[in-house]
Amino acid sequence: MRTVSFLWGGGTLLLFAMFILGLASGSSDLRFTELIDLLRHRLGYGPPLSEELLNKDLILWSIRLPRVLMAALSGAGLSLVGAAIQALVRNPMADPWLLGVSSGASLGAVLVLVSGLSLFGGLSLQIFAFFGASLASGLIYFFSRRSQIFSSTRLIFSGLAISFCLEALTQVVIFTAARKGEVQNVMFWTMGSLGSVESSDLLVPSLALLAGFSFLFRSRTKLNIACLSELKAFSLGLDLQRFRRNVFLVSAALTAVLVSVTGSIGFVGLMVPHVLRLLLGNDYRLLIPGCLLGGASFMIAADALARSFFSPQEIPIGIITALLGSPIFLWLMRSSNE
Amino acid sequence: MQGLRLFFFYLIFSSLRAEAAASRPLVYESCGEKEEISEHPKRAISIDTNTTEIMLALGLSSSLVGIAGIDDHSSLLPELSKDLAHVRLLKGPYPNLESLIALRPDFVFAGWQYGFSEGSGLTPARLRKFGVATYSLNESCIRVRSRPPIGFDDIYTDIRTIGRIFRVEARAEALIADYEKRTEALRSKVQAMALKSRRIFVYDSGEASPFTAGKYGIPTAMIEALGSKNIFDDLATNWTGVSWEDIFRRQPEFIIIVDYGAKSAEQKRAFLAKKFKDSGIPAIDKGRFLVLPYAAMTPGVRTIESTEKLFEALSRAFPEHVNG
Repeated sequence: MRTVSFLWGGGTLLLFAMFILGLASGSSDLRFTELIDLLRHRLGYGPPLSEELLNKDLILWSIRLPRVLMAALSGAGLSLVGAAIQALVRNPMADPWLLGVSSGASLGAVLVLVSGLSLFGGLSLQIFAFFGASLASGLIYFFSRRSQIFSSTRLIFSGLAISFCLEALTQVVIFTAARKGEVQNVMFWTMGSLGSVESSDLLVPSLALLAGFSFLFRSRTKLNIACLSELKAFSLGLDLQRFRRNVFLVSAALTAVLVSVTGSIGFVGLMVPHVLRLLLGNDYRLLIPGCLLGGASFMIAADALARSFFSPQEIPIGIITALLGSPIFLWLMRSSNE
Repeated sequence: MQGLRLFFFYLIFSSLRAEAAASRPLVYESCGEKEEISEHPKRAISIDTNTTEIMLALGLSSSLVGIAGIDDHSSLLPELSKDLAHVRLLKGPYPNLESLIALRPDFVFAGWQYGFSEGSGLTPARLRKFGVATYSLNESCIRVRSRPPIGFDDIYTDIRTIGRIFRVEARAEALIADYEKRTEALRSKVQAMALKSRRIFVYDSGEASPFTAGKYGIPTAMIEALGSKNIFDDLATNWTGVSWEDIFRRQPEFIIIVDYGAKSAEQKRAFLAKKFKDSGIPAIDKGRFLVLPYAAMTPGVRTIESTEKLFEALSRAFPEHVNG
């Protein structure tokens, strides 16, 4: 149990450090002392701000803060889902996109954009992306069950098949769209981007992450059991079918919410859990809090780099997550004893 | 926090509205949306070479605080870019929201895919929340809504609207009058010479697949003003990717190369010549090319001049149809 409190403490510290780093980096200069001034000002004490600092204040709270928070939410959420799905299908190659949410969300978003539909005002894109994602997961769920038995292999294959099918449909819509110009507007969806995140986008993902995390945290021992053989799970009294269904539904819903805001940011859901496995072992009692804090920290750092490498341009965050994550993973894998 | 921010925005908006009621607000249209500003902007940012040149031609360099562009800044017309010492040159192609807000702008002149795009977070709606007014290039509106066919009127509307926004209407009208006179002169020349309709291909860039101008791109207006035909005028967008097979099928008689980006115009031309060697495409067999820079092939102050150049080039390329 001491390991757990150590993990919580260390992880929280890391997350806090990354949070500050995320707020301090970007295309316009913000010195650390200025950041402290702005924080103090926001808390109600500290000197009145100069015109230049007022502008930085605006940038900090209206552009960077929502972004850093969303990076944390999606990093944490995708890592958690990745870890959960890996237990669900008992396959280390599984990642959140296995649930079809990414391709489903893209299809929903593309349909809104090319049809010019704006039923729900500015939110329609996110709402349709969410519907698309849920539809895709629903289909995969339907195909991976037969006579009430939930099969891991069938889940993996139906996930792949439906993702490919929906991606192809998205391409069909793009190529036959009357207004082809929308295509570029949609491209970011497939690469993932935090660029358009505003503070009003944060509420739903926060609630989804809170719900998803508390479910997975409560299920942490069950996740350990689910990784064992079916027979052992049965002998330990776990209703594996029911449990897998619940993990699937919670994971799909959380990923759908995240992807509807940021598009599909690759790599995080696959790699963060593995890096943590190398560091902490395969125990979900450690992995679940680890994914929450580690995933959030990793994504904030990746986004900070995406914003400052080629400033004032931004590189798609998926490129950074892969560029940063792969070497870390390979290095850890080589230095581990397994 | 959320509630507080909303309240804050409410305060800003309501104070803006009160001020607007005091002076007379200026209402203009940008991609079909009504925009309202209470006074003319003093800290403007322009996000592409052609939009920047429109502002400079209207004598608005002192209103600019920053410019960006897909092209290098050195590609701005030298006669227009003399007094830009005070202007921040943002590294291209297109900047992000934060680097714009850091310049404390009150106005941004850009266009959809000319700087504005969903996903990057740089959209008129998002800028509005920071109290920044925007105007989107008319040609680019096809990216967000359906619109009537393209014409030089689209550029006139851009110039006229920017003129109104910055209270330099007279200068705007003078420019437009000049352009109208010159297009009229071109039209009568084309008629007098009975210039035959030619199939023209606009090669923007791309080797895996070519990028070109469609029905709603300003090149189509230029080509049609001379009685010719853009071979891709059936594509309902302004700029888009097509396939090499289509070029072969549509047999262009003349090619315009847009000069910008990593590949030089000479490289682009050599690439096309090699790709379609012995293919029987008239433009390539006869070497009928015209090179025009990016800012001359996007809507702006060089459009009419480019059309004149295209006219000259067509007359030279097809001498049998030019009388005397």
